[in-house]
Amino acid sequence: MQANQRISSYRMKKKTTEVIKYIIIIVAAFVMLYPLLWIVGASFNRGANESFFFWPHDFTLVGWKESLQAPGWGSAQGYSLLRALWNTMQYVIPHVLLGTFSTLITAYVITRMHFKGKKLVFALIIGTLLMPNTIFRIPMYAFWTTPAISSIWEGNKIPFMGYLPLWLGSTFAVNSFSIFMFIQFFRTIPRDLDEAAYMDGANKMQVLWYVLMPVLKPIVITVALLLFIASFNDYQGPLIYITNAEFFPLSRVLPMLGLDSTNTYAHVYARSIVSVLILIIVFFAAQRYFVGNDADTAIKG
Amino acid sequence: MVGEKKWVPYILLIPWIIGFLLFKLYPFISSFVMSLYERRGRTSTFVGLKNFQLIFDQSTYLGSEFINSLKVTFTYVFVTVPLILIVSLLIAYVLALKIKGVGFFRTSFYMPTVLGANVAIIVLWRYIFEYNGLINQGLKLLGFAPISFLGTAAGAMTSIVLLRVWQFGSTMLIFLNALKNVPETLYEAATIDGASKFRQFFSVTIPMITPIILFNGVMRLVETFQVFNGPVLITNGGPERSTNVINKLIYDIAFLGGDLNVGTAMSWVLFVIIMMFTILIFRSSRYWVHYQD
Repeated sequence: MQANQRISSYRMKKKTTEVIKYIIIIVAAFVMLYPLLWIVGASFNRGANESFFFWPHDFTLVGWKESLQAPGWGSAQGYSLLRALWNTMQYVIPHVLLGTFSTLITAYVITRMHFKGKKLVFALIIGTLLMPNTIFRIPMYAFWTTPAISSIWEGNKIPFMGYLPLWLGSTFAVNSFSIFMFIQFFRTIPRDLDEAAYMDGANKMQVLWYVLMPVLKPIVITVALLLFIASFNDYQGPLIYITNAEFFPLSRVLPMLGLDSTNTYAHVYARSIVSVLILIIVFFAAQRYFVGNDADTAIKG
Repeated sequence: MVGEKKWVPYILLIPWIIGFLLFKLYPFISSFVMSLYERRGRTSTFVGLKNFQLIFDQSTYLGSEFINSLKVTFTYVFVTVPLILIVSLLIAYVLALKIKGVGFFRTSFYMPTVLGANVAIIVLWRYIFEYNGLINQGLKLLGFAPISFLGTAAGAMTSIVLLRVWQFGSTMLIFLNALKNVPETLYEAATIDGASKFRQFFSVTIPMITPIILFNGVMRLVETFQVFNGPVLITNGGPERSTNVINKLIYDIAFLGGDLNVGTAMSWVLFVIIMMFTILIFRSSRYWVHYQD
């Protein structure tokens, strides 16, 4: 009798915790996502959406129509959004490709090769990981804007060259966090894999490309995705370096396209959604490979 | 490894070495040197620590701006970082409890991290916090009086803090991974000893993941001390400088105002502050961080 009661009270308790955890998670997900849903709703609404509920009370397609139809895809106030997107890509593409490659190689050398000074290199990477970017920014700006140097890149119409100051560093593995993530991942791969390939006469690079690459795929995609997000969303970098309006990326153009006589809330919301679509698409395409987190096995060991 | 050529690793490290020397060491030293100089027209003169005296002299305009920005940044950091840690740990803890559809929730919670740092969304954040915006409509629905978020100091700070806390995804994922690595046997032992779930969280979970709390805490601290986008795009430092964070002030002084030397002095103060806190946290860690091995 008593035992039965205890069991049923235990079951009740278990059920309650079960319910509570779902309530917490659903409420939290709602709070997190509702602003985004509300933004989508507001893009279909004439005037400001002065309601908590996301569905439009004065439905209109004008924002979306004019954002998509205008020449150059939403050319507004003299700025073509298509051009701005291309400008953003002039930063993003080299940053992602070079950044992923150079940090992968660096992490590979540190985790899989023997050389003198390895400890120092590792310490410097961790040290720079914690250093604020602010400290590097002004001298680099002074360097890039000296007349002799700025003539190389400023206003340069060769693709990607106009954004040289923003991505050149990634050629040289300056992103310590990416190196750190690769190092953590390399440490989880058993060395037997490499050893077996060496027995068969493979060299270092062959081992990396043919043996380790399949295993590394998730971390490569994760690092690339994080570099993509960081450069696509970077506001301060282009704000400092890109002064020529023709080269303005999305992050410079969008804040300037606020409300005015021809741009209603619907326009602003629709344009903003269109401009982050690529980000959303890339995120969903990559996320199934996503290692699950930033620093997957963060500081294990 | 037999037959390995000794120079191979060095060759492969050349990019990193160049990167370190040109993009880290050079600007690091250069910014310090720059902070000791004053520029008038085309000539730079050595002025010692004058720039530092200037930015700490509250009687001058520059000094009062700088002191104000320090206070504002400290408020921002010490509200934001604990909030991010608490929210992300709580969500990660619940997600680790074998939830159905965990993949969906994980993606949902990561979404704002991807989008929240984007200029397009930050600009809209301003509308969301407007007097008639989403947040106030929600408050009205719950029976509260609307708040002038962008018109008051506390409200403006709240809106930029919430923008950052909203993006707790990365921190949450790191916690989630750490929680999965806590051995199940510890919970079983605690249950046998009669510890409640609540008690287990504080006596088993938290101690087991202290190294990750340390890691997340330091990473967020370094990052939030350099906040820029929210205060520039949402509040523009206002109202009345109440969100004029140090990184925005540096931008205004160095890049808009053209005074690179004072800008580097301010950057160095920020750097020293961040380093001090980092060292302090690492020093204190021996009292609260438990390493398994």
